Amino acid sequence: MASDDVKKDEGREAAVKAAEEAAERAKKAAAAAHDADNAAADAGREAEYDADHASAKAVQEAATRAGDEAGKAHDAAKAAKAAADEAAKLAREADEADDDAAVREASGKAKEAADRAEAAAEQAKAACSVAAEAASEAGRAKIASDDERGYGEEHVGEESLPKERRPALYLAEFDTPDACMKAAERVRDAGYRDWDVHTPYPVHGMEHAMGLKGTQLGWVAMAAGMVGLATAVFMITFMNASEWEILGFRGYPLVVGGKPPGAFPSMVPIMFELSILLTGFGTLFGLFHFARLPRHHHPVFESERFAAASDDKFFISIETVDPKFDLDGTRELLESLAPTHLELVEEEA
Amino acid sequence: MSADVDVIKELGERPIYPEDTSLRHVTESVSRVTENPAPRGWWMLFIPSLALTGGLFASIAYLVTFGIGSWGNNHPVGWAWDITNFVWWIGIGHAGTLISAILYLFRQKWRTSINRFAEAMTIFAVMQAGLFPALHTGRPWFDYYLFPIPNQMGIWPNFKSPLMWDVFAVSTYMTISIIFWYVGLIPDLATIRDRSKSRIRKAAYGFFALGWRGSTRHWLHYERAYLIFAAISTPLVLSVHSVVSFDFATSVIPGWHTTIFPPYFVAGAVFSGFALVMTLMLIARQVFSMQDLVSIKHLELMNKFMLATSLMVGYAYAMEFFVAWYSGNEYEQWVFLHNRLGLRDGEGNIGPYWWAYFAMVFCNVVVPQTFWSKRLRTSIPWMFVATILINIGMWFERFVIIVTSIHRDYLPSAWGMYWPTAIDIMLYVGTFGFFMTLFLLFIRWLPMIAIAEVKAALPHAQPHHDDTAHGAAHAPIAAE
Repeated sequence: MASDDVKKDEGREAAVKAAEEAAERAKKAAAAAHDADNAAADAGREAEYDADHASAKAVQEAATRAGDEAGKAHDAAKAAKAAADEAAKLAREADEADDDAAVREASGKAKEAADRAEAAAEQAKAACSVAAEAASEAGRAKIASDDERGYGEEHVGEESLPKERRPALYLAEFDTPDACMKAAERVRDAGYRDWDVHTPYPVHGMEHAMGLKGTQLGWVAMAAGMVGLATAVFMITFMNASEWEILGFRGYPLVVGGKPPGAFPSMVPIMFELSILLTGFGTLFGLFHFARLPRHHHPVFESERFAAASDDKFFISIETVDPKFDLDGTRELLESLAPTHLELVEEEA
Repeated sequence: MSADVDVIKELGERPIYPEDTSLRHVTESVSRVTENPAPRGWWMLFIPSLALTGGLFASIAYLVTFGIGSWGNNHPVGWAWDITNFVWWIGIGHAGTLISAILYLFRQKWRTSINRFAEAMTIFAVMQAGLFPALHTGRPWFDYYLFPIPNQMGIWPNFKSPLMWDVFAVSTYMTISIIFWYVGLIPDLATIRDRSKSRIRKAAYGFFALGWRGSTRHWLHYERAYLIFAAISTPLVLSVHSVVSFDFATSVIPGWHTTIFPPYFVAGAVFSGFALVMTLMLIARQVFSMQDLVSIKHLELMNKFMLATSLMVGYAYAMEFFVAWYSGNEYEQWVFLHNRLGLRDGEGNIGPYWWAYFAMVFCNVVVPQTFWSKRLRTSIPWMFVATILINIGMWFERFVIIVTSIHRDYLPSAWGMYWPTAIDIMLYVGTFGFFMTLFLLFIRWLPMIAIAEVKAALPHAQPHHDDTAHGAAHAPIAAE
């Protein structure tokens, strides 16, 4: 009996192990498919851009092909992801199943799912390379058509064409600072980089909810203040207590009230005032530098609802330039944060 | 939601703003002033102010054409209304900085309803103040000699002169006040920009809002910048009136040559500035019906401040007499007993300016004592009268210090009297017109209450951390 048990266990262990391996394989395949999908999507966008900016038929056709292939790659990647999920689930089932038969069955199914995932990944890769090919073809065709029409980057009569728009950012709206802060923590944990929280007044702790580092403004202000202090000492010493000649200007040692020309106590008020003055300027321009102000144009202003950010609403924006940005994935994330309103803001391409 | 409110209630206090004040309500009640046509009360103040401004520039033209002999200043009273007005206006400005900077450092959240208003007052008051010494030079087109600019004569300014320190102190004060005020305005300009319907308003407010989008990445640096401005403005405001007092204290004139001047001047400056903030706020909240944002609680706190600073100046008045007696210096004693109190001299002559001294003591020390009574310090008609009396008293304080000290000095053969001329009066009254004109334009076109700051101080504005892990994570931040 004991030996049977051991044998049974060994068999079971092998099956579970096989299932786990299959799940791992499926996961890798899904990741590859995901990469291929991203690359295909990029190629698709590139081709679409070319098509939008050139009217030649060859460009349009190539672009359409690239778009189609990108769609295929996306479907394949989805299939790969589904298969991988299934494989993982089956592997878990195999691990938890009570009787050997079930274990073996689950393990077999997991293997099958892994195979499917790998096949889908292959498909995605193939679609991706076709899409890339089509995109570069579209690019070449565009250059050719541009050359033919005698212009490069400048587009004659572009203003007569309708302005094309492309997604710039997602804008999620919240009614309360609490909801916005909790949502910001989730976005921070998801690892986004080019995103922001917009509030009508400074919400305390939001910078930590966003995972921002503290400001270095104080150092700038202090450095500027020290420059002011040194300027005052130098200026007074040069003008009232020296005979130095600097750039053709001459200092003059001035004796007033029987005090020595460089009497320190009488320098103090102006040393102080100039330190304050330059600290003020340092802080102002430091603020402009760190906050990247003035900046009068930003895609976020394209949203009609955004005006409420300076009134009574709280917003989270995630920009498309973020490396983790994904039209569907990011939307899913933001939807899961239960905003009162969510929109995709577009800017002029 | 109301954790903070509960704490406040537990302490037996009431939140500054009603618990149900919404963010929208704050935006609305402040922004609408800039959007709606001006109420009749505004025009009733603006037109006379503009007329007085005309009077100011006419009298400046007269003064520059005929010279400062058209003032009543003459030996031995070389400094009279011009310097009195300069010190008075600078002092008025100090309340603005005190409210915006010092109360900020002490985390007095009630300041948010009045700080914008008071900061604007600072800037406009310093503009009036600057006029007087600039004109007193006699040939104002040579005023650039005051700055260390290389010139054809190869002469540098004398940096040992307190008047030179004044140039640096006042111009720094003016610059920093403008920067502080503008930085505070940026988020509120964005609010008005976002509400604007017309293209011109959008462009104008939008330009100065610098593209502010309420980003936490902005607020992070902005709040630190604000803290730095508050931290540098606090010693700055103390230094400015100290430097102004050095103009007198470093001289050897009995009545001027005292070490108590810097703190005495600063306390007096805050006192008179608070009084003027109150006078203007009482009018503005009435004209623009903002009684809920500037509540009776705010006004009562302001009155308590005035009571405290009144006691400080009262102490300084008494201490001057003590020092005159204790020093054993008979010239000093003469100034205080004869020139100020008006006691008879050996020949039985009375000091001719006794009434100025008693007006000063009555307005600055006696009147504010009524604020010990809760009924009087919450009575709007009384506080309106009291704040005007305090400003008259503070003007007399500077007049007393300047004129009574120099009109009768060491040699009786050199004594003289000072009486103002029509140009003196016109110039002073004209600065009121100019000040009010600028001020009325400000409340008409710019948000007169700091919208973002009031919002941040509302009872429900800050998220409260209900789950413990969250709260723990934030604990060290709160301490910062």
